[in-house]
Amino acid sequence: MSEFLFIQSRDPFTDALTKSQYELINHLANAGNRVTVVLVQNGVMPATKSSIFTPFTKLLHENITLVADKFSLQQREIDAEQLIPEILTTDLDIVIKALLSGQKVIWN
Amino acid sequence: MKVLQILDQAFRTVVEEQDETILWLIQCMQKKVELNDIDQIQLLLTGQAVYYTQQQKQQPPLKIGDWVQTQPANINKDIGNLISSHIPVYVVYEDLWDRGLEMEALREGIQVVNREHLASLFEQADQIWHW
Amino acid sequence: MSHIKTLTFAFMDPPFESERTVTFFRLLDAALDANSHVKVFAYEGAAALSFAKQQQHGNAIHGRDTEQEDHPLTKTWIASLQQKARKKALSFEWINCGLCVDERGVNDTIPGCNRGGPADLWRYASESFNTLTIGTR
Repeated sequence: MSEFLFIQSRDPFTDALTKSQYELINHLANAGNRVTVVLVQNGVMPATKSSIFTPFTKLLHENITLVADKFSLQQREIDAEQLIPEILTTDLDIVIKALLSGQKVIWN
Repeated sequence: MKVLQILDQAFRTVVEEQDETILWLIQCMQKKVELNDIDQIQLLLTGQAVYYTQQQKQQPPLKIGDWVQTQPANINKDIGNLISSHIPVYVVYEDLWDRGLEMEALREGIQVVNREHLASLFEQADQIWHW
Repeated sequence: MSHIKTLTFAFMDPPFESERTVTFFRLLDAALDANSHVKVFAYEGAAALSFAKQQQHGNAIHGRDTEQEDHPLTKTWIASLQQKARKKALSFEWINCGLCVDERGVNDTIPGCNRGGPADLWRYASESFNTLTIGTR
């Protein structure tokens, strides 16, 4: 089993490929891998409670840790309280820690 | 070091660079990779890049004013170079299907992988470089 | 110093067109914060990030002159990261794809940014603990 971290910058509202990226993340988690998804840039947009995009909610999986970049949220004036409760906020040091611990880090 | 290169875009830069820049980059790096038995580059074509598995002709030459392109890109040749360099080239079946692209048109040497089986491709690589 | 790990980053976007450029620089900054050596391979549009002739300008709509506007420049961000690395006794290497530089006429780079090619990316990655590539769209 491997540990993966995806930097998810694409959002499903403008980029159809995002849905298959979510699916792959799910497949990796279903195969027993530990996966972290860091939502950045417009990638944070489906993370709010009011957002409706069903494939995103499938990322709420026991093997997947979902976090959203604080700076990207601040830019969009999204408060942590507006996020789906399972999603925590983070700085980008989480990406560097993953790289330095040998995780497979992938930009989406 | 085994690195899975992922390309999901197509027809970006092929006119002005006269090649697909990531396919070019991989060909350049492969010259270094071939110097030892440890390293391996693999290529996964997904998204719009699955069109590259169907290319048969050189790109059409661009004409701007009196300027006419003399060396348009040849994606077919680039993919052929990768295959002949023993770089495993994979394409996502569902991305072909969604676009109505024919499996029969795939050139020899390209391996088709279902989206569900991408996880094992990701697991076996040491690093994954998504371009 | 041998316990310090090195990270390689490959980046493709130009200075002012993409939000990815900002995230990329934030990642480099975070890598130095984490006491990592950093190697950067700048490909395609990213070859202009270190162009020495980038210039600040005023902005009449903002009602500010050049000094007041203090417009961000990527060459300044690179210089700032170089300085940060020096202060922390970390290395911060930067190679621009030479052909990409030639095409764009951005040969005049700030000090510390050098010219190379794709083989350098593979060398960087081979010498590093881990690598992150950020493609363009």
